[in-house]
Amino acid sequence: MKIERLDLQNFRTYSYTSLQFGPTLNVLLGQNAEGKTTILEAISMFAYGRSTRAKHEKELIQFGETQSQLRILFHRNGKQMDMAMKILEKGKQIKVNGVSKKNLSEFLGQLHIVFFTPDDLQMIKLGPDERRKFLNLNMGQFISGFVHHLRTYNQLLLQRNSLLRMRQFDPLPVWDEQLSTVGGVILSQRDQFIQELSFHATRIYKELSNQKETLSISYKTGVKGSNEISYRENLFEQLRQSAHHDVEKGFTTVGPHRDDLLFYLDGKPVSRFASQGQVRTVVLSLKFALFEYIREKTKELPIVLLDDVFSELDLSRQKHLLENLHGAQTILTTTDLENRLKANLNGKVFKIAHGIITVER
Amino acid sequence: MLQFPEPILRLIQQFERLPGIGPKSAQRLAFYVTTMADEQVQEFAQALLRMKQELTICEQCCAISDRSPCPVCGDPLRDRSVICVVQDTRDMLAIERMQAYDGLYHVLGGAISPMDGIGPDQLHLRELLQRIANEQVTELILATNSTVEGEATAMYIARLAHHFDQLQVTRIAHGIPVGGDLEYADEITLKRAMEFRRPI
Ligand SMILES: Nc1ncnc2c1ncn2[C@@H]1O[C@H](COP(=O)(O)OP(=O)(O)O)[C@@H](O)[C@H]1O
Ligand SMILES: [Mg+2]
Ligand SMILES: [Zn+2]
Repeated sequence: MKIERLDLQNFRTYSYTSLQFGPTLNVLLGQNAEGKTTILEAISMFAYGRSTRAKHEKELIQFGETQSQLRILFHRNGKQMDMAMKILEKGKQIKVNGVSKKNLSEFLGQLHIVFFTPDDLQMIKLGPDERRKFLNLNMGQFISGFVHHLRTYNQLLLQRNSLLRMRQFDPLPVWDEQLSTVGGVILSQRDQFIQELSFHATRIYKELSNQKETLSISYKTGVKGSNEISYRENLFEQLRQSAHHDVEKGFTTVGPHRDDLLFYLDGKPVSRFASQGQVRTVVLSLKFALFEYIREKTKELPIVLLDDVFSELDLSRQKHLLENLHGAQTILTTTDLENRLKANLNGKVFKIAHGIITVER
Repeated sequence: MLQFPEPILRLIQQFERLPGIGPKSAQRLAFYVTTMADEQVQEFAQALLRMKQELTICEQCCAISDRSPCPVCGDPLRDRSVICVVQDTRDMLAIERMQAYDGLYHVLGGAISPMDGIGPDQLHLRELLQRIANEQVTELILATNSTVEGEATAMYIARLAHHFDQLQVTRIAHGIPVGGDLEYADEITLKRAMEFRRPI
């Protein structure tokens, strides 16, 4: 998979810009707050269907403007793809190869990315929200219908919680039935995804850490089950049993919205016992595992986005990273190109200043 | 700063109450009205008033109509053993337009949505149960929307309907639109179409 071109109009700091990417390595070079991450964010919108850092989509529209447009041209399995997005103050419009799409499910699944950001480190230390976000965004990239199921589930949850706050028990089953049907799908897909991811991550951690410890990643959910049917049946039963407890709490206490992802090194929780260096290696392994997962599933190399993380790595990790990307198209941001970094680089360099991009070489 | 003259402001506010009309459109409409001929404005205002005055709710199916019973309920040729349950009168008219259904309807006036304070009591459900109890109904077709609220409403009615023996309850199928290309149907629609497939 290769991105050829990205056009942005009124997107954050960019009034208008058009970038033509090189086939392998692309470096976005610039001082802080000049708009480097914004480029990666724009690309990620086509893979995730939403921004990872904007709370409301209208924040993406350039100050003083009323709409923003993004367009990306890329190759996928030898096919030319053209995706466009128009962000309005209320909602957005999406097109794939010139055809308007009504929902995100028809839009996602075209572009695949692995996004490394400095915030990844917090994913281990902070609460489960960040880890669920990792699961949701990345599963939404290629598991068809996942985003739709998630939305449906959240809508059902809001409805059920309203009933709980009104202390109404009678109508609960009609909501629980739908919740467990959709919830069962989400639970089983997450279970499957994490198992496959974990397999790759363990192997990769071993390589990165020179066989020191064993990393294991596991799925933590309050719902018992092993496949879609058992998850569905158990969730329905657990929802029924927790009805009184949930009414006291005022919200639904069981279901995939409470899931978590756990990391262990030699059986000890990473969040509590690992050093900063170990946490970094765990996160790196997780992202590489995602890379391998996508490569295996799609038979293609995903686009790799590296936000400020490359220059933080020591030389051996930098080397490992570049070697293990198998020539995947990579777009990285950095504030300075140190000599040792430069020596390794063989690609296109874009200089970014005040929302203007110039090609250096 | 120069304000809108009070009479225009009043009209703008009225237009803004309509669904899908924001402040900008409301202003445009209000100013358009200033250019209309007097009798046109009269007609417009009359149309609004008369619509409200002349409309009623059908005492049998709860549809919005200009008479009660409505043309469907009043038609002696309709099959009175089948009732198709819909969310609103527009859904009923959509099914009528296809001219292939000759049973009766029941209009709920919405779907269950606890978030919006709409429970079974806010819908025309009691009327439906009375009809089932008092008339010779053998089939109930649940044609509520395929949203989570529409599904919940259908399930709720299906549960209530279990109390009546001899009553068959069906749910309309959701799937690929006729003439629709499989390639362009989204995955959710495809999945549903597969789930609700039938032998031929
Ligand atoms: N909606 C917007 N309109 C205009 N500028 C914006 C908007 N949102 C963010 N910015 C600007 O974009 C810059 C941040 O860009 P970013 O890509 O995060 O920088 P970098 O990654 O190079 O540090 C800031 O200068 C910020 O003020
Ligand atoms: Mg940045
Ligand atoms: Zn009627």
